[in-house]
Amino acid sequence: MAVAVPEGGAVPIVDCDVHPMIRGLADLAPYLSTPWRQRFERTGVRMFARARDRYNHPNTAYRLDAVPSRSGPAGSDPRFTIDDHVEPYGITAALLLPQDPYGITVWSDAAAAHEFTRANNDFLIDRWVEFDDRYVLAVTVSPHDARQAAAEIQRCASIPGVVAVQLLLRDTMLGSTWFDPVYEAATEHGLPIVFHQNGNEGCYHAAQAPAGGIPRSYGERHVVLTQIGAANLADLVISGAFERFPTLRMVMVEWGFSWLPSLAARLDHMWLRDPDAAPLIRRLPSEYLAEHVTFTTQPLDEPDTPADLAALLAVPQVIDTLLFSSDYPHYDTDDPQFVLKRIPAESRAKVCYENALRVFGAPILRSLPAAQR
Amino acid sequence: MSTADSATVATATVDFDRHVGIARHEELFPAMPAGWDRHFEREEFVASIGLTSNHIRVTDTFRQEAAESYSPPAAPETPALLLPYQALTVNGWSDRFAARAFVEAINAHGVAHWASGNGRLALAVSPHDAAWSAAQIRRYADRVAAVAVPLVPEMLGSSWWSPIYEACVDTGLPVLVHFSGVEGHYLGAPPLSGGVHASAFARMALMPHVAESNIASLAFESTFLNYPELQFLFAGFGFTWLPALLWRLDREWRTFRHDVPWITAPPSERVLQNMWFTTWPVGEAADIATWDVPFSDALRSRIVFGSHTPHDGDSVGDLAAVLGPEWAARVARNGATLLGDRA
Repeated sequence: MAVAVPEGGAVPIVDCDVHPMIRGLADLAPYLSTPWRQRFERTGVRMFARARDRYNHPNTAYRLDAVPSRSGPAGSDPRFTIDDHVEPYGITAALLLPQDPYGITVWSDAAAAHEFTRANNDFLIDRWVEFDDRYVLAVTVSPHDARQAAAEIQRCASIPGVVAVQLLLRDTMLGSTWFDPVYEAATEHGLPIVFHQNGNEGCYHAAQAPAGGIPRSYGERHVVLTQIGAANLADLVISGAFERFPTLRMVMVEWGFSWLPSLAARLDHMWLRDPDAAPLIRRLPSEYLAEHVTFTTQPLDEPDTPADLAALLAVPQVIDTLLFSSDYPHYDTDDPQFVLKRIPAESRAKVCYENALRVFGAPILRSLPAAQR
Repeated sequence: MSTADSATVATATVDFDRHVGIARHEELFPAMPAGWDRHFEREEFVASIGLTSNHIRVTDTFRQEAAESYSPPAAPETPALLLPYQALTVNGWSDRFAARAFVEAINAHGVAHWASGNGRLALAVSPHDAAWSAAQIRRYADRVAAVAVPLVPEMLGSSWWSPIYEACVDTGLPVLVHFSGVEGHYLGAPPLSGGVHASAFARMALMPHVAESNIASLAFESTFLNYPELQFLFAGFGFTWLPALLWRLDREWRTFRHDVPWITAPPSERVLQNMWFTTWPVGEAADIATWDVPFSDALRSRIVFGSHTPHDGDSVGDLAAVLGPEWAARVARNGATLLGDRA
């Protein structure tokens, strides 16, 4: 699938990881019922998941130059994000992955988690998606109650600019039938599930963790955080989620991708040796991964030599599933030029937008004239 | 590869992951510390030999098969590192004192019955008692070729392991790291990545992450500042995932090096200087084009053969058939280097 790029025109760029923030609870006030607003004002709300007393960031988690000049935290001003990131880099579509709801993964109150997430979705639809048609949204759903999450998907699915579902995660693995109502609603509307690190990983009993034990430092934890993405992918395959939902699509954001070939080969090898050990798998695990899963580029692994990266990108199941992402406005934002110049020229269009078009469909490029989509 | 070449590789290739085991728990009773035979002589423990021996646990089984006895031939034709794999399962035990007695009995039994000629025994230690383990290492050092460490949630970079590492450095023995099979399964054993896994298949598929995390722990802690000569052999975890891990290690260090000021060189260097990796299961490396290019010469020099026999094991022939003659010869040379003065 491709778009009609005018001669001499720039190839569209879809950035699959841009984080919008609220300036504070007051932003959500118009979208909350009075009892919920009063309650949140009284108790306050926690809008980050990582245990900052345990894994405190060695610098700051956001770019200081991405803090809006007027007020609010980095990522809280849709105009500033356009001026600072979208326009300078010629981004055609910025997939908004709301970050404030990540905090609800450590809340114990399922109803409160749902209300906060719902209000956040409404705020972003009003203030961001309607602000500029380069913004497209992954509506966020809470993992506490899968039926409520499904209802939220049903409520938002038809709103212009909504192109995906961001499913937050606690301790339950993605392959669990617990999430079937979410997958059913998402596939009914053709929306892919976006799975992004929440920050809760490795911090709480009700969260998932890297293997082995407790990493000591922020950096050590960051090295092994990718394991959680890999584990959930394996779980989706082994638990038969892609058999239950043949049109389910997963977008893995910020989990890396250089580990994919070895994991896929291991799953294939084990299944071929003993198919009875994974009775819900009907074909090679790598085939499910290639068909159902895409990966974002950031943080781009930095191999020792260009040849190493070229070899990684030469693996068909990698380049055909790769989506550009910046992670703006976080400290490790990748700008498109940094990433795309490392992608072989012949594959650049795939990473810029073709793979995104395949997974999100034409609505991801709603900023382009209809004739070009 | 010609038949002659195959023969050359086969005779020269050291097996760093050969398992030895008992068929019945009662075999250990004569080697138990005083009084412990009476402790273990109970119906449920004796009958649990199937659990102790169910090393791979790829499939969920609903019955305990009788274990086979995995004793090496009296004089193996080629050198092999013998791993008393059943001792590793104490990483899932709740009684730390009983675990110590069990490990001690396996070591005494192994030295008496398994170590011989080309068969070099790996001494098991208890992950619950570092001081006692260090004493075991010093006691048996001249009769064993490595120290097998069952994994617990205390990561290998932790100073908790220092008495064991100190004993290994003093005696010139490498640390052998191998899963027991209960990781991510038994409470108290190391978790696997993610949450609770639905099947034994999933647990086995994700087992390399346990190695990754402990490598990261070793690389980011002070282990190699204190013990620069200490060598680790990660056996049974595969090896094709290494380049991706090394890239992440170095990237995070570059980004946050002020957070770990005691690490003054890229962490990957420690992997290349102080760690080794066995090939099992070599079948997962069959599509060489997907992993081979990023293996630097230095990284290639750290890969050695491990058959994992008899648990779904690879032969030297499998190694050559999957990786080709160049890799097989390289792996054989690496093994000779690791064996070094332990030959």
